[in-house]
Amino acid sequence: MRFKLLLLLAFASLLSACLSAPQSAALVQQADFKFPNPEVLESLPFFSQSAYQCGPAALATMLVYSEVDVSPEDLVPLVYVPARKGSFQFEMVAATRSYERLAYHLEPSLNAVFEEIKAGHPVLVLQNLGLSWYPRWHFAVVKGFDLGREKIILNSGTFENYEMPLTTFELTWARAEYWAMLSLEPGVMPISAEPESYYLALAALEETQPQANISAAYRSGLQAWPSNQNLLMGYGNLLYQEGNSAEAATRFREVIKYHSNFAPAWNNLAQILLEDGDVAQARTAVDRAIALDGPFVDIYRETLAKIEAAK
Amino acid sequence: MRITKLLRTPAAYSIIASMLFVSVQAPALADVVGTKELTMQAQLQVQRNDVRDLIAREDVRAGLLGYGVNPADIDKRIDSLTTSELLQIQNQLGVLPAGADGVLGVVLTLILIFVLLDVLGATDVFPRI
Repeated sequence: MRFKLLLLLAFASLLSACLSAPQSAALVQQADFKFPNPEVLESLPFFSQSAYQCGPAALATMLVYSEVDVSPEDLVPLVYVPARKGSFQFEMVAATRSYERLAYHLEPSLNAVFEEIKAGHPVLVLQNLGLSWYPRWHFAVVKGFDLGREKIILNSGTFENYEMPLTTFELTWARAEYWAMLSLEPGVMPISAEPESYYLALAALEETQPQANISAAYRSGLQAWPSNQNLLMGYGNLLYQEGNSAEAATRFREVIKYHSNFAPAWNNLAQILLEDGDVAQARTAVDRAIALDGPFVDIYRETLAKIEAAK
Repeated sequence: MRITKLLRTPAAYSIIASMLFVSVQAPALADVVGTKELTMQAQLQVQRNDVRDLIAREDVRAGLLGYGVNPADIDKRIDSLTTSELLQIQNQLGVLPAGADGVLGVVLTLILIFVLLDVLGATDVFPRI
């Protein structure tokens, strides 16, 4: 009898050892000054999933909220893999982009999830509702939270406003490597955005959907980080493509102002100066690019050749 | 002379070859460094930083030191890793959990790093490879 009790105790302590939810614990502690009030995105739509099709239902929830006219049925051919009875993360990302929305990967932090909810952005999450060695993958949308009651609120599967204990959520989310994504209209900034991740999300959208409102996304990004090298370069290139050379040159000059050793900016500026007939200045700029060297030095040499031919 | 015959003369061959050369060269005449190319560089940088973060981790540092490898030496080598090598290491990052539980993952990743560094000549942990 006593042995059985001991065994049970040992098993229980083992369980609690692997069931730790440090992020939830920290957030509950800081709730009073960080997230004192419950937050719920009341206008978040709800699509009840059909068999195994949590992916299309969750993604439709995200897209419709960001004002895309789409239904889960439209998304099934894009994100549902019948043989796997599920969807892959990268397909969710690609489908988001195909509707001209920015697919932003959130950092693996519950705090970031809550910040986004507070800013009015629902969060698509992947959970493993089973165990690491017996996975049951599931996509759901975080709709809100109530830290006073230690609950997270999800539109999940066939349940609208599904309340889950925060620690349980953290455990299921951790088993899916904290995968979380935002789907935003270009120009809307993730509140927890990091410049690097934001730029990569934007560049991926630009590459796959160049007709989307990419310039709005660059402008918002530059409002948040006015000296960001990648965003300035990308916006400069976009303006140049659109035929707005003067504005493009301004962006490249800004890159040079903040990052004077970034050779591609000198080269791209040289190209515009050459087109404007300012051969001498173009030569100075391209010489600088070539002196700085780097992986694109062949392009700088071509620019130099064109400048020399123009003399 | 019929045109097909003309095309078979050595002079024609060299002209055709030079035309091919021109047509291959033309698309490479990029006027500006494009966003796509810059993004690839940015991604490479992110991958390098991920590997740097990995090397900076306490358990990984301890593991490396245990193998007699100075983490600072690896740090110097990260810039010379190629895209595909970085990608290989990064694929292993997912296997490497943060706690002490993932001993196997840690070992796997370390071995991978060592093999790559051996190829680069930085270490000599696996002399038979």
